[in-house]
Amino acid sequence: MSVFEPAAKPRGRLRRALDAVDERMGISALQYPVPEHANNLSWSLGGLTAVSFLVLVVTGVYLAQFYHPMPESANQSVRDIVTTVWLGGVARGVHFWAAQAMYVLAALHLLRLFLHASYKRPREGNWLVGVAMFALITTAIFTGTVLKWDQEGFEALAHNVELAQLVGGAGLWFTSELARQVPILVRLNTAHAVIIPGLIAILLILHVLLVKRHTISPHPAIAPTGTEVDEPFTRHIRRVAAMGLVLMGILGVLAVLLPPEVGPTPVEGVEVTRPPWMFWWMFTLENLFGLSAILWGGAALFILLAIVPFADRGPERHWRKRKITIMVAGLILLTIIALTLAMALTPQASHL
Amino acid sequence: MNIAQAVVSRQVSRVLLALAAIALVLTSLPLAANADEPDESGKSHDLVLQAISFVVNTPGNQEMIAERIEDALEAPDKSGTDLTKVQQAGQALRAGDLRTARQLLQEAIGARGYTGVNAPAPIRETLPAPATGVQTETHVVLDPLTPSRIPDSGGIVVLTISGLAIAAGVLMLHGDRHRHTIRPRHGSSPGANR
Repeated sequence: MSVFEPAAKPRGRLRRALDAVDERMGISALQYPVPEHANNLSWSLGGLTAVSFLVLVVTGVYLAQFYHPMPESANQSVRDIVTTVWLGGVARGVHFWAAQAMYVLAALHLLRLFLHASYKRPREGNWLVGVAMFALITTAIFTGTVLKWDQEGFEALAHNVELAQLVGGAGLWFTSELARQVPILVRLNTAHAVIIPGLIAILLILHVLLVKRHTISPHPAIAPTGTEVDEPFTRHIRRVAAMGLVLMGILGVLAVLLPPEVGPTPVEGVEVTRPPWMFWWMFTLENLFGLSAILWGGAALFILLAIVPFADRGPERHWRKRKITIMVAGLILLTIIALTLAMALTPQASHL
Repeated sequence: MNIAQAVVSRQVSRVLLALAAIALVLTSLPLAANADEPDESGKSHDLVLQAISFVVNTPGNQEMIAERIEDALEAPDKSGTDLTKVQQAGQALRAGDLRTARQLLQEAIGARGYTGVNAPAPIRETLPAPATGVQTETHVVLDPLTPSRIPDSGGIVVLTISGLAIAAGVLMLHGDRHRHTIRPRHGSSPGANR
């Protein structure tokens, strides 16, 4: 049967061509049923995160043609991208805002999954894949911040090098000890442009395959069988694509009206900037408890996220019936928000 | 104890176990922490560069700028630095002339006078050795580059395309509405056993 319409209708040339492609590429495998409750924004946040990733890859490939990852010229090459490269400023702006969007959408996606207990059996593995992707997104934002090679980026790197030294051999990759003749900026560029997006792509494929394997998770407040009208996943993709168009439009508007700044060329031994907002809570911890607090604060968050499916294994999925889990998660979330706001209100301090 | 209480109790114990594990990590990691505080540079050149960085990044913090200038004058390694100009920069700073202070500091380490945000490489008589590790290779502290928020002709084209993309997306979503046949029952958990 045709992928695109019931077999009874006469088949035009285009449809026959599409069916021929389907026969060889197995596109019809994407037509697995998606329940009605997933046809809205909150259940499409994962898809929108993937759209952001796609935008980041496209703009990143363009920016990589003009970025020079040597310390002597990295900052100047970013300035050149903004001031002299055709559409360079827009590409950089879209890249910057898509990174913010991807982080926010991934965080909201995790939150939605948590509230609906979508991590419960048999989806524990896919939750862990998602948490790993969230960690990679955070790392990508960190490496992207450093690549600008301005004062903010250099201070982020300086913190990271200090933290890497704290954990000894485990942090070797982040120190200059690994390859003494190669500037660490060059290796971070490789991580940002190849290693991290490559890993995200691999995990994304695994994530999508596992979603298909386990099907879209049930809604905790909807009876499990016979009450919903299923639609093929291809229809769901079409809806996500429409939302993605809106997202890309918003990113374009932000890139033009609120383009990101390129900071001053970096100087070692000076600490005058704040990190990107998603790291503020960690830096309030640093203000309170010292440099190592960044390490144990970040590690604690991701360990907590990873153990969620193993700590909350009860049968209940509705948030009202998971009071303890929701309360603990709420407390952690509030703490992070409070620490973030505290950073916004605290004057910059030297730590290194 | 009924079934519901047993479930809650099991949940509580698991959460407590998880919190205990986290607490263990939190308490053990700081014990391993022993960051080496980097020593202040003993080179006048580096300290002058830091002073310039403070001028660019935090021009209001004159105390830090003056401190770095003093340190540069007293540093054990004064090579590559014109101390007379550093002294003059200190005087200009005290007189409140930050622009002249910056100019003098830049000249003191052989950097070109500031000519705008796109001022490129520093003046050097010999080619520098390639950068390694975490060396910044900064010889001139450039001002931040803040792109204009007023769109030029290209920006207007991008804004137009973006607006069209938003409109197209909204139209597609509007045309792709599905019938709502379900109503979630709040407080119930029918999917619990799936």
